[in-house]
Amino acid sequence: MTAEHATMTCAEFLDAAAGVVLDAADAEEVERVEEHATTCPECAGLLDDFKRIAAALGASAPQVEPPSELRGRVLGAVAQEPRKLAIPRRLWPRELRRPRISAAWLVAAASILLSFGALAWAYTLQTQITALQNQATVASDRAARADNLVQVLASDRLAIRPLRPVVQSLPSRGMVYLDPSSGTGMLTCHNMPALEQGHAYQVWFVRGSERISAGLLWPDRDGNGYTLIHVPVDLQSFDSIGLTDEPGTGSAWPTTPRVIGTPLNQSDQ
Amino acid sequence: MTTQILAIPLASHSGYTAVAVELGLTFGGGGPLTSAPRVLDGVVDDDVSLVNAVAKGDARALEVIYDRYSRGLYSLALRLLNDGPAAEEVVQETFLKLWRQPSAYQPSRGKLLPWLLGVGHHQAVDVLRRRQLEQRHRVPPSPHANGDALVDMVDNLGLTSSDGDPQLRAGAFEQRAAVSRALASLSIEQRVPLQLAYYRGMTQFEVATLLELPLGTVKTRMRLGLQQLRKAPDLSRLWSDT
Repeated sequence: MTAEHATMTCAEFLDAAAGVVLDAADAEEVERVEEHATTCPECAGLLDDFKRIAAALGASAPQVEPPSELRGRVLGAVAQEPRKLAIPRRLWPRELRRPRISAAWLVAAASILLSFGALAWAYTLQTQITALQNQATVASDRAARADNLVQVLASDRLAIRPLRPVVQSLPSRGMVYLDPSSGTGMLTCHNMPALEQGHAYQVWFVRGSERISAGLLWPDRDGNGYTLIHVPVDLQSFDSIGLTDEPGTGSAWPTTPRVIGTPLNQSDQ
Repeated sequence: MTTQILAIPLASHSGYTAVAVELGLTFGGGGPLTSAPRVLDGVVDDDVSLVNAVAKGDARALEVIYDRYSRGLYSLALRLLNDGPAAEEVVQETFLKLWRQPSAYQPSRGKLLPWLLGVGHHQAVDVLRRRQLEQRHRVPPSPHANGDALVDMVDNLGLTSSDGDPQLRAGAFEQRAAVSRALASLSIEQRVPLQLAYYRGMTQFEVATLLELPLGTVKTRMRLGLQQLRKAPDLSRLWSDT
């Protein structure tokens, strides 16, 4: 694909098309991609391929039956929506709908309309500026909070382990993302047993008889939570990781049995 | 209203891949392993004929399409929105779009289910973005809320798709396994932007901001990821005519 078209080159099209099929591109880019596709059959074929791949991602969602009443609702909505809109009949004779208006009145009306239009435009601009400022604040906040997480996820040495309950009947579970190169990791947990007030779950790395504290975690009322943890640089020498119920100030050594955990000495993925 | 549906010869049921059967891509729908050629007013239907009938105002043809594909569509919307009523709304709007504008589906450009999923995804992403906008206007960003969103995001990324999903280990859904295998073949640099965009409804700009990458890099990684997935045999077979 070397052809160039008015709005975008085929090379530019490739990058833009990916965003379009993922619904991640802005409206202007969608328009440019569609315009290019109408002039370049090869790129149009590629766009269709990308759409199929995106749909495959959609088809991977866990399959759930829709509620049975939805069928009736959808078909009912269809039944109420005639394909062709009926043309409204005239309710009064044509001549009654065309009153005579003087030029002066027209000028005055136009001035008023313009004033209102300008005011509405200014209000819209102000609203957009406020919305953009809010978006910038949120994005900045989010980016700052994601710093550590992104560092963990992007690591070449990322190790990911599911955390399972020691007592099999417990619904608790979790996941730990470990990056020994940065010494940082993240641990998420779900359905953890409720803690006494003032208590927390403490994360431990275990090596033989050694226990290294990696951090504390306070799940919410549903037993779900996450925390960033310290990861030993020599992670591969540790046997396992586990969480125990400890006082909220942390313990020097585990004082209760492990609730969830996982061995660490397995090959990664 | 008279139903006018063309009879199109069907491929034999045994010609479908297991993935296609699981997805309900076989004629007749109704879920995995229950598919059989569907007969409407004495003739066997296929998707193209059904859409042609819809274009002529045949609501019964739309019923057949609904029975065939509503499950896949609802599942996708629910996956994105995590909200049953909102997912139902997406399903309704998608079928209404097909009813209002059947010519928007062009059979020469692909099968009906991928098209419906594309429309449904677009609708669901619109809902997600409206929600985000409303939240920004109504509630000041709180550290806790952001933290929760972040954890939720990571949990749903499927980063452990190769070995961490109990459903996959149990082999419950072959199509999920096929897609997950393909995704797992991507590098994390390509996989994360793709999943953030598709499953979390994030724009390329938002992904770039979150990952602290130049926008161009995110676009390139998404493109490389899709090109890589395009080569995956499991996915290329998924919408094939076999």
